[in-house]
Amino acid sequence: MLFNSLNFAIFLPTVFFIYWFITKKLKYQNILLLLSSYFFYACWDYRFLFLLMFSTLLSYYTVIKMHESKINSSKKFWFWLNIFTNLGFLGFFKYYNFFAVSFAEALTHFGLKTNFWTLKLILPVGISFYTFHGLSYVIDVYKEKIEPVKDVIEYSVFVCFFPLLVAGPIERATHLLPQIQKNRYFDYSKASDGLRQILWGLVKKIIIADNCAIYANMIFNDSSNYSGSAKIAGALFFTFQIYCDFSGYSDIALGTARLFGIELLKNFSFPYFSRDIAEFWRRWHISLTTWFRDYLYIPLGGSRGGTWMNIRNTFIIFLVSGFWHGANWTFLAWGALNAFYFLPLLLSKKNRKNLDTVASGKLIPTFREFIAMSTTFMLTAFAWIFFRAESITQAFSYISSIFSRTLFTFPHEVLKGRALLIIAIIIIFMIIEWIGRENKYAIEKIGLKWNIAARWSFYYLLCLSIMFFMRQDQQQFIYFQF
Amino acid sequence: MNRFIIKLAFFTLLFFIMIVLLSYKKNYLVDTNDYMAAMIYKHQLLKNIPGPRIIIVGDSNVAFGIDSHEVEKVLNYKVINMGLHIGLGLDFMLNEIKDDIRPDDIIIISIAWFLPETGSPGVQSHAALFYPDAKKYFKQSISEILFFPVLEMQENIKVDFKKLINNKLKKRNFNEEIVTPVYSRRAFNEYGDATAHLDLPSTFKIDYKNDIISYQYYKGIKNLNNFYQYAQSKKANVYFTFPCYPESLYKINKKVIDAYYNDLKKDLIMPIITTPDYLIFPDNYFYDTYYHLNRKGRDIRTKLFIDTLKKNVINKNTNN
Repeated sequence: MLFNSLNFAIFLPTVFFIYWFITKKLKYQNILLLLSSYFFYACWDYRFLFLLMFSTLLSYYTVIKMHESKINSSKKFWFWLNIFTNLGFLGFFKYYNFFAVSFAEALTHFGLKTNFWTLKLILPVGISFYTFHGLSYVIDVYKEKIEPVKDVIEYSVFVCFFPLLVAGPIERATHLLPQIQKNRYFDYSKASDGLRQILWGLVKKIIIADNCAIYANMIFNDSSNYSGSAKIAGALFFTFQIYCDFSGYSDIALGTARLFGIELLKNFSFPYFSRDIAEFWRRWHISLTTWFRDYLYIPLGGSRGGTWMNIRNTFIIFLVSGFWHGANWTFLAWGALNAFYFLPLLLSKKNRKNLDTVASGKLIPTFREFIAMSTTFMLTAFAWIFFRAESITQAFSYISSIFSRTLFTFPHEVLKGRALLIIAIIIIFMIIEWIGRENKYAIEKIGLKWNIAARWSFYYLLCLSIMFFMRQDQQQFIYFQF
Repeated sequence: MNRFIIKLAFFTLLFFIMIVLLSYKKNYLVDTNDYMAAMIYKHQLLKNIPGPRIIIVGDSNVAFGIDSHEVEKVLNYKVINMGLHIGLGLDFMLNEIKDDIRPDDIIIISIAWFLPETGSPGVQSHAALFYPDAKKYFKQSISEILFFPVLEMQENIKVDFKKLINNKLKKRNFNEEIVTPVYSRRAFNEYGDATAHLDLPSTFKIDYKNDIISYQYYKGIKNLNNFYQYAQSKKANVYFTFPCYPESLYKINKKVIDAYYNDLKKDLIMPIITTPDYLIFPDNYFYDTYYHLNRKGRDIRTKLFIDTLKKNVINKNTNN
C-alpha cells in the first residue's frame, strides 16, 4: 500500500476515525495501531508478515530473558542470540546471493570453478528498517538505558508502527516507546501540522521525484545514446529524485504519525544546503547515520584512540552504511566515496565546523556560503551516480563518457518540453525549501499568519499541482527496496 | 476534534468540487493532438465505411508498418488500420471492433509476441479520455474510475496551457516550424496508418537486457478463439499473422517464438496465414523500436502482406 495511493487514502482516515472516536483508551488504541500496521504490511506481502511477527516476538522474549538473567554470561547469551538472529534474517534475505555470487566470481579469478546455489529470494519489505528498530531496543536494554517493555502489544507497536514500518525513520526505543506507553490526546494544531507535512511530502514525491525519475531512468538506462551534458542532467535529475522520494516519504510518515499524537524522529534537514560533507551527513537520513554513530562508531572507539583509529572507524561506518542500502558493489563504492570526501575534514578537524543552519535568519547566503553549498551539492550528485548505477562498470562508463566532446553541447535530446517545466518546478521547490530551511519541513510556517482564504488557496494550489502531475502508474518509493 | 473534522471535510468537499469543475470541459477533444486521440478517427472509419472491408487489428506494429493505400489499390478492398498502442491489450483491441463487424469483412490480426490480454489501465484510460466509448472495451477498477476526472482535469489544463503558450509565441512572431510529431494524432493518415516517422532517421538500437522474451503459454489464445467464433457468427473472416521483428532479436528469441508458434498451431482455431519468420527484417529497417518499421521496411512488409492476403485470403474467399 503506497502512501500516494487510493488504498492509503481510504486506510488512513478509517484508522484515524476508529483511533480517536472508538478506541479511546490507550490499550485499545495500541491494539488498533498494531492490527492496522499488520494489515498495512500484509498489503505488501502477507507471506513476510509471519517473519515480521516472529522477529518481533523473538526480540521481545529474548530481551525479557536477557534482563531477567542474573549471570553475566547468560545475559550475554540472550543478547547475542537476539543480535545474531535478527541480523541473520537480514543477512540471509538481503545478502546471501550477493556473497554467493561474489565468492564464486572471486574463486573463478583463481581458476577454481564453483557452483554456489543462488536462491530466488524476495527481499521482505522494510526488513532493514524494522531489524534496526529491534536492534536499537535490545542494545539500549542491554546497556540499561531503558527498562524492557513488559507489554507485548506496546513492544510490537514500537517495531511495526505502520508509518515507519517499510522505510523508516529508524526510531529509538528511548524516543518512541514512552509515547506508545502513555495516553495520547488529540491536539488540533499538531493534527493540522501533520496534514501540512503530509501535503508537502506528497508534493516532493509526486511532483518532483516521480517526474525526475522519468528523465533519470531514461538517461541511466540508455546512457550510451546520450551526450556528456545529458548525462550530467541525468545525474542531477536523480539527485533530486532520491532526495524528494526519500524525504517525501519521511514527511508523510512523520505527518501521519502526528495525526495519531506520536512524534517521530526527524530524518532530513535540508541536506542540499550543506556547506560540507560532514554537515550533509548530519542532515541526510539522520535516523540511520545517528544509529550507526551510536551503535557502531562509538562502540568501535569513535574519535578516541588517535587519528588512524578515527579514520578506520569512519571508513567502517560509511562502508557499512553503503552496504546497508543493498547487496551491490555500487553501494559500497558510494559509501567509500563519501568516506573519502569526509577524510580531509576529519584530518583537519573541521568536521564539526558547520553545526548551525546556513545563512540563519537571512534570505541571501554569502558568496562563500554559496560556493560551499554548490561544491558539496556537486560532490554528492557525483556520488549518487554510483548509487544509481546497476554496476561499478556502468558507473565508471557513465562518468568517463561525461567527459567527452559532447560535454559542452546543449542536451537538446533531454531538456525540452516537459523536462524544462520540471526544472522550473525544481527551482521553485528549492526556493521554498530555502525559505523554510530553519523549520521542521519547508512549509511548516508558510501561511500560518495569513487569513484562511489565502492559506487554503495555497493548499489548494499544492493539491491541484499534485493532481496535475500525478501519474496513474504510481512509482514506488526508492527506499522500499532497502 | 470536531472542529478538525468539520474543517477537513469542508476542505475536501471544496477540493472535489474544484476537480469536477476543472474536468467538466471537454474542449480538449477538439483541440488535442494527443496520440491516443487517433482512436476517434479510426472508429469513424469503422462506422462509416461500408463492408466488406479489410480491418487490420493489432498494436503499433501494424500502425507503423502497413501502407493501407497500397493494399487498397492492389486488392480493391477498403482498408481500415486499427493499430494504435500495445498498452491497449488484446481484449481491448478485439472488443473495439466487435460492434462494427459487417458480413464478409476480412479481419487480419497481427499482434506483438505474447501481447497481454488485459493491457495497461493507464493507456486504456487515456484512450477513453478522447474516445469515451472505449470504456466499454476494458474493465475499469474503482481506483481507475475515481482517477478518471483527474485525467480529464490534467488534459484540460495541458491543452489550455499549450494554447496560452502558443498565443504568446504568435504575438512575438517566432518562426514556427511545423513538424508533425511522430506520436501524435496528426501522424495518422486517412486509413489509420502512422506516417509521420517515415522520412525520419532511424534510431533503433537493441536493448539486450530488456528485449529478451520469456516463454509462457499464451492465455490470449482463448480470447482469440472466442473472438473468431463471434466474428464467424457475424459472417466475417478472421486470420492471424505475426508481427514484424528485427533479425538480431529473432535469433536470440527464436526458441521462445517457435514454442509460441507451436502453441498457436495446436490451439488457435483461426487460420494462421504466415509463419513467425515471414516478417523478420534486417535491423536497419526499423524506426525506433523493434515493432516500428521505417519507410523501407514498411514498403517491403506491405508487399509481403498483399502477397499473403492474395494467396491465403482473397483468392480463397473468391473460390468460396
